[in-house]
Amino acid sequence: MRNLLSHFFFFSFAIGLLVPFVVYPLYQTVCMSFFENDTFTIKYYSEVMGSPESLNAILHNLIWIIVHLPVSIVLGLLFAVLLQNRRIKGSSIIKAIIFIGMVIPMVVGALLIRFSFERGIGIVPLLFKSLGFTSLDKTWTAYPDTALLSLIIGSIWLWTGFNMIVFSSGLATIPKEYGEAAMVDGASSLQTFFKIIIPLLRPSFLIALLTTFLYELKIFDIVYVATKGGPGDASMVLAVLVYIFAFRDYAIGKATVAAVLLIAICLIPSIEIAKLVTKRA
Amino acid sequence: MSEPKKVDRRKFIYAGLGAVALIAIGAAAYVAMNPPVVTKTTTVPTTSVVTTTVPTTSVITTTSVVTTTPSEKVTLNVIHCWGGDEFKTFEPVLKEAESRLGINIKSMVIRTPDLAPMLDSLFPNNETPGDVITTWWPWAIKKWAKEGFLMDVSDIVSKEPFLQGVPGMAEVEGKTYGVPWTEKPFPIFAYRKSFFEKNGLTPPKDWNECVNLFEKLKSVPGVKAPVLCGDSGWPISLYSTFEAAIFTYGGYDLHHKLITGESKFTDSSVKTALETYFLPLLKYMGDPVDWVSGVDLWWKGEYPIFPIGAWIYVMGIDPNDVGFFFYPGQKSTMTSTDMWFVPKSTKHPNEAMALLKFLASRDAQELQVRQGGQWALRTDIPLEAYPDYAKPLAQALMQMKIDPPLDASISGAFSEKFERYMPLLKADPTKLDSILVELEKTARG
Repeated sequence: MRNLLSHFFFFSFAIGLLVPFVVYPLYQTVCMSFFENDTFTIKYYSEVMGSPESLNAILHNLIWIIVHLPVSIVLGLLFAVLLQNRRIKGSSIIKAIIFIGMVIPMVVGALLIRFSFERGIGIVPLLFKSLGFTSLDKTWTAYPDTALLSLIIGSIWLWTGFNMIVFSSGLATIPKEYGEAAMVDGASSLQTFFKIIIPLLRPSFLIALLTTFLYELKIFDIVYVATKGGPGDASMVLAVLVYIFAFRDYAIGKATVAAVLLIAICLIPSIEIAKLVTKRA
Repeated sequence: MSEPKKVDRRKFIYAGLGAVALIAIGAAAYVAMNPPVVTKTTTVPTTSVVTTTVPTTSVITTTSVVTTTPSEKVTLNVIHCWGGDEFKTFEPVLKEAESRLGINIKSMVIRTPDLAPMLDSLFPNNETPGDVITTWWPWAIKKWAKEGFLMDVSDIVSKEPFLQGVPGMAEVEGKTYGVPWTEKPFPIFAYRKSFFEKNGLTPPKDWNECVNLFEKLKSVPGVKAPVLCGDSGWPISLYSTFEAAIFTYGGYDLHHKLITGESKFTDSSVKTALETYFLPLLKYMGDPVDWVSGVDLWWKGEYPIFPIGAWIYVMGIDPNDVGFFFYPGQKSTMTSTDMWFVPKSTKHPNEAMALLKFLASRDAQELQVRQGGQWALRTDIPLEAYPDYAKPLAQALMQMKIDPPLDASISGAFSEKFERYMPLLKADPTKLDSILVELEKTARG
């Protein structure tokens, strides 16, 4: 009885906040996507699902996941492992520098991305120019073939710091003795890393995977500030499309449909990943 | 005999606190979602509108003045869209209004694209962040007027000599809801007079001279590209020259018919206009750069010609060194037309309307024009009122017909797509046909 009451007490705050501020607006959003002047309709769904703009946006979110997810996780892990080595002088300073991407506001990060890829100012076009790739000495965000790529690369720089910190804390929890025992048994460094360290880092992997995945699906600020989804639809993503429908086109019905789609796309895989996380825990 | 069971008080405390928390949060949420209708008895400050004759140095003008006692001094929130140096040119007008009308003015800068969604959510709740507001989107004024959120200002506007057609930009069913303020024509092809003199260049008089000028500029040392492409999510240089090409080839009529829908973006005349005057220009434009930092690059001579609005004069440069030309042969242009309006939800309707009346007056508009960087929409502002650097443009405008920009006239959806598709056209001019189809679809959708 006492347990039940204390559960009720602690849950009451969460539920009291979730219901009016998450569940109710969500419910209203879903309702608005199906109604026009109090009449049930699937018009908004057919408009949004049938428009190349929306399909493009979903495709770009997928590209974002396919490229950004593995690269930022592998880089985060790599930096965490390398900088864990105390023989590397100034490793904590290097970690802090990598983590700066996470500390600065995304809007500032987006501006930095824009300027980094701008011809004449940015380091990226300059680098390619000096390497002899003159076709890449251009403002990347201004061309449809490079706009999305430039945002993804920039975003990898911003996000890798987060994954690095997750893996660093995971590595800190693994007792040194495990690695030493493996070495005594004749395992090489690589074998120790892949057979001992990686399996023990599984909870960290799941957390990094879930948060990175959600970040990629909800990506808005970087895209909106750097390119507004353009040129044309070249870097359009779902969250920016929701904003454009709602606040530039004043098409609230279409905006709610895009929002429902975004929530659905986020929710299904997130539940699965969350199940894995809790199972391991 | 067993001892009586000890009552654990903590469980009652947990339960009590939990219930209170739930009730409190639920009540707060309920109130947040259903704000109570409060019937207030308000005492409206007594104001009297007095017509006085105010002598000025050049003219005698009749101005309405709201007189209030000091203790009743009302503070009006004025929302405008001019920051930094631009605001410095508007500040004297506000100060003059305060002294003449006996009110306090608190001003805020909110740019139209940020303001519009805010007002869209506040107006239906009978709320407003400002008592007197300006926007450069006349279509938005029409939209809010149709929804019944704005005060009718026909009486104020009809008595003043504004340029023909300008008040009509904010007209709904014969009533006017916006007071024209000033205009800033765009694009002007701005250049530095000293740069041109140093390199023996002159502004072009026809299209061939224009192309020759661009070619010559390509070989001037230090020039990265002859024409600067100002962007930053707002592709000002691109969309303004797009429209200038339409003005040059098809005149005012073609441009205006695109607004009204009598002409289509897919019409051959539009395509020819762009192929003749817009696509060739793109070859001479550099990669898009942030238009504000572009001012510096232009000034340094890296991009000697900058298609931009006339507000460039007050962007911290020496305005006397700025020359301009329009597309050769262009007889009409578009202007950024700022318009004032008063929401019905203002708490000070009398004072707000008095301020609006002052802003529409010759005194206010002449005072604004004297500060530079803005050009009059009233027909009775003399050329002498302008600073020297602004006179050539004022003179040129007197010979030209003006029309609002397409993005400020058609719809929000069109505006957004127009801004997003211009950089695509710059990157890939072969997409002209598909972009025109898309623009037409959005404009009439």
